[in-house]
Amino acid sequence: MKSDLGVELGGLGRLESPVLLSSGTFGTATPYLKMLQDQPVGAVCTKTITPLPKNGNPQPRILEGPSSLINSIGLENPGIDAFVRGFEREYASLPFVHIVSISANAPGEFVHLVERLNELRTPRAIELNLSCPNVDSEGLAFGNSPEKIGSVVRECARISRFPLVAKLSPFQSIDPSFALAAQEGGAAALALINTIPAMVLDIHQFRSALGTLSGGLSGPAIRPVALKMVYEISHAVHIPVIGMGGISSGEDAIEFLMAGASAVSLGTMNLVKPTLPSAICACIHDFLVEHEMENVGEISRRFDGLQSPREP
Amino acid sequence: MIEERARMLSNHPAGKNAHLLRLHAPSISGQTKPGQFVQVSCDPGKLLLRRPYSILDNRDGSVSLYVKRVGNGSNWLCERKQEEVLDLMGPLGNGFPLPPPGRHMLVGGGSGLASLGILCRLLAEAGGEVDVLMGFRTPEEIPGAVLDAFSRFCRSLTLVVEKGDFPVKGTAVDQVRQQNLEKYDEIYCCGPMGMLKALAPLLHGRGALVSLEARMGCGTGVCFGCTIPTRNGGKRVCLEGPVFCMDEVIWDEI
Repeated sequence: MKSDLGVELGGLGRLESPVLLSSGTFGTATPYLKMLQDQPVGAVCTKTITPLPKNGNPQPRILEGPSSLINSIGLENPGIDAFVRGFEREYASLPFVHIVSISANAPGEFVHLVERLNELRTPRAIELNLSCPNVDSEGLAFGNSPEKIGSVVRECARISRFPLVAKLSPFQSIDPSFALAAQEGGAAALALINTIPAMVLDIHQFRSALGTLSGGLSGPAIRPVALKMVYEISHAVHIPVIGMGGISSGEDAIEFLMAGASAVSLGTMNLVKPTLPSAICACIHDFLVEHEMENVGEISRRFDGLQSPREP
Repeated sequence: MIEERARMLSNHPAGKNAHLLRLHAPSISGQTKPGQFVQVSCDPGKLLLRRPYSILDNRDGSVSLYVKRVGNGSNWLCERKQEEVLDLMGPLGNGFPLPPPGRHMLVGGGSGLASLGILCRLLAEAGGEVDVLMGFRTPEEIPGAVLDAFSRFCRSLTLVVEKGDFPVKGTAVDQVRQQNLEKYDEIYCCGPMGMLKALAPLLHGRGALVSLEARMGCGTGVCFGCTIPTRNGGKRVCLEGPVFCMDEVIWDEI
């Protein structure tokens, strides 16, 4: 039996691999792209682009914890003008389907970003970063109520030539009200989850251990939290969910697919092991064969929660 | 740039709380330029991020790393035995450019001297004259085996120690202050941030190059975790560095 690792992501169409690469962990730096060549990647998401260039946050920006990473990069990016100017050269020729991530401070700014991206030909979708914990207000300002999420998505959807992916975080609550608002606003898919707001203190210096007061937690430590959110929300919406949060193996990826994600995305582990997609795809393939399934979507259909008695 | 499974050829103590590791990694070794580094997976499954280490030497299909014990990752690395296999990614970073033969000064402090190892050899092999100046905190920290990578190639090797019983007392910065810098065509530095900040004004206007150490997320240029401020905007130590023009770095803001 031939197993198909391709996935249908609603308005985003078909992706040849269920493994995506998350915003902030994919880049076009040469050493990284060399590692990535020939990897079975369904799509890559650019670093989040903002209306104006951002220098990012002071050092230190990265702290490692037990099975986790806290970052406070602060959306360092060249701004929309430079991004659009360099897009053809930097992204259009990539051998990967690409999604552009954006964030801003006001609905009008989001709309402006979408208008600029409408000039481009090759993006498959636009991801609205509605949940970055690392900047004073961008994203987060919209993240604090379902109404705001809904209205930003709606205004962007009205003019966007590209399907929209709404990226949410657990601080927006695990109940589906935020996700439903994004769906009703016209989002074609959801990306769950962003990093979780977090702090580490340097007790000897009476200050934050990061260059900023707090950052965003990622890595294997947040995986069960992400899985719960993916499960709850994917069962409440009818648009596809891209699941992410500490995925570091094929088994982890299958867990998210089983919980209801239509595809998975790698973030922190992509920094550590850019060759992970091939290992994950091999594992998913073997799993499909072992359980006589023809495609990735069947994995979640087999999941029955706690319905059937546990095998001894 | 590749990921390579590297077998430990040897692992010996090199001064107090540090080891000299030699690993069989022919692909990485063959591509390595002076001043480049590798990202080493340490205690996989327990420690998340790879750790960046300068490549001290790259002869005979191997890479040599000078590892100081500063935390969980380096402690784990120092305890690896011969024949154990490590996961390396590299070579990474821009590395040092190789100038025409001339007179060169290399200034190193602590574990920073590792990034100058291949450079010293190649400068000497190209016919240049290399004077090496190294600072340590105590005599016990002097890593004899690591110094071999320099002493066999340089014209002079000056060691200076801050505390303890040693002929030349002081810091590498003190020594640089006493030098006639005019006689050098090129000056290269690597060491702790305090040393580099003190060197920056002394070497201003001389086109000195500096290799920076940084806390890194990816090491491959994608996460922007190691960005530093320069006169030409933010630069990633892992990608646009680790080698920078000393005068380009905005030292007050690091």
